[in-house]
Amino acid sequence: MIQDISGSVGEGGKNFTPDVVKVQNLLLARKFRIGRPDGVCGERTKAAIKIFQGGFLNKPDGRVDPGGVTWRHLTAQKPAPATEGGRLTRLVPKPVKSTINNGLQAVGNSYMLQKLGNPRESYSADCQPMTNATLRKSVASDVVGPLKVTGLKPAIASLRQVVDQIRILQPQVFQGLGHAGMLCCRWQRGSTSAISNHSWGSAIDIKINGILDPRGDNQVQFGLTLIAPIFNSFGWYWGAGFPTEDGMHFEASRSLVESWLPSLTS
Amino acid sequence: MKAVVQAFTLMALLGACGAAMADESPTEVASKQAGAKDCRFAIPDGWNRLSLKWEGGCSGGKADGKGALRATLNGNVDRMFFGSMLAGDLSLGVVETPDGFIAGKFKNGRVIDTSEPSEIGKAFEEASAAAQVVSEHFKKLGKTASANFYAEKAKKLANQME
Repeated sequence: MIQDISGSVGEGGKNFTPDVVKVQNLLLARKFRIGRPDGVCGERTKAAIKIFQGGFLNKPDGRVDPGGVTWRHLTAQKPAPATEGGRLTRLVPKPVKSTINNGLQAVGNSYMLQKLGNPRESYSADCQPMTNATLRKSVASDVVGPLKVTGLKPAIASLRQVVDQIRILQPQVFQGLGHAGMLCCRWQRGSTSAISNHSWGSAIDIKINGILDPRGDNQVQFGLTLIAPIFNSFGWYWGAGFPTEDGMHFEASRSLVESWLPSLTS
Repeated sequence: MKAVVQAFTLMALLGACGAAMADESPTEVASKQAGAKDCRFAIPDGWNRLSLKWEGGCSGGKADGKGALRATLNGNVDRMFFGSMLAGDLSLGVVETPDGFIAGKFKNGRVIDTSEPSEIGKAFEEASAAAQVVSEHFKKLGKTASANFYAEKAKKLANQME
């Protein structure tokens, strides 16, 4: 049994240091990337509280009160009921940039070409098979929870960890989890020079209950906000942080790709 | 394309473009028909109790070709299908809902679930092309606001799958 906080924490709260640390530790346990617990209730902590509250409050206020509903959910053994506040696919404003992808760096074409090589000699706007023989050896098809995927083997292994955590921490999202593709060698939309990161089989577009989050509207499906911290904790970069919001998109970050290199190049 | 334009013209002349109120139960809707007499289509699964309007091609008395199926509830747009109909049935395209997009091939009024990126990409391409066709139709009629609305949809659909 976790001892209650003595004062409110978060937006407009008293924010006593020991209370803030308690709340930060509970948020970390739920895979929110808020940094090290420091007892200071900054923007990342407040934003994480709001995202967490979205699972059970219609109007998240970003504050945890002693003995209150948010505190009870935070200290509950089971995950917060994600759908009490509405549909999992309802659109909510994308989280503040500083609260997502912390410490993770998105990969670019030059980095991927240098580290993994070119998946194909030529590209078009449509998905085409990978032709790079070396890279192709590291591609597999597998079943990961409810997902049937084709992608880079280490990406699939990492995705398996992510999906397993989603099953434990966000079972309602897990039930509706689907995807719209992992490996697809093509140009980025509207380009004839930039390669899509899906070409390396290290990115995935997530569907929830069969619905794709609209790109570029600066809103994301609520369910994605629940699983993004889990993706992030395993080194996957969330596309909500791209200049053009792409909430359904998750891709291996630089550090994650880096960790795969020994197995991919040997 | 010519057939599509002719169909649009005919529908404009008739002054009725397949508007219908569907009130069937969800289990019956796949086989139930809606739309103008000369441009019928099967009510998509789960679209009962919505007022439906097809803006698009017709052939042999059925909705056929690229277009947009608009579903309204109490006068407000609830969801829209952009893509192609084949002999009065949703065929390939995207349904825009308040929560996002449902994309792919359709059978019996419902999407065939797929995780194949090429299929999903083609569905968005078809949807974008269909929205563009509808936009051009309204442009020819001098309905600038509608033309712009569908042109924006075409752009949004084209840019979805990155």
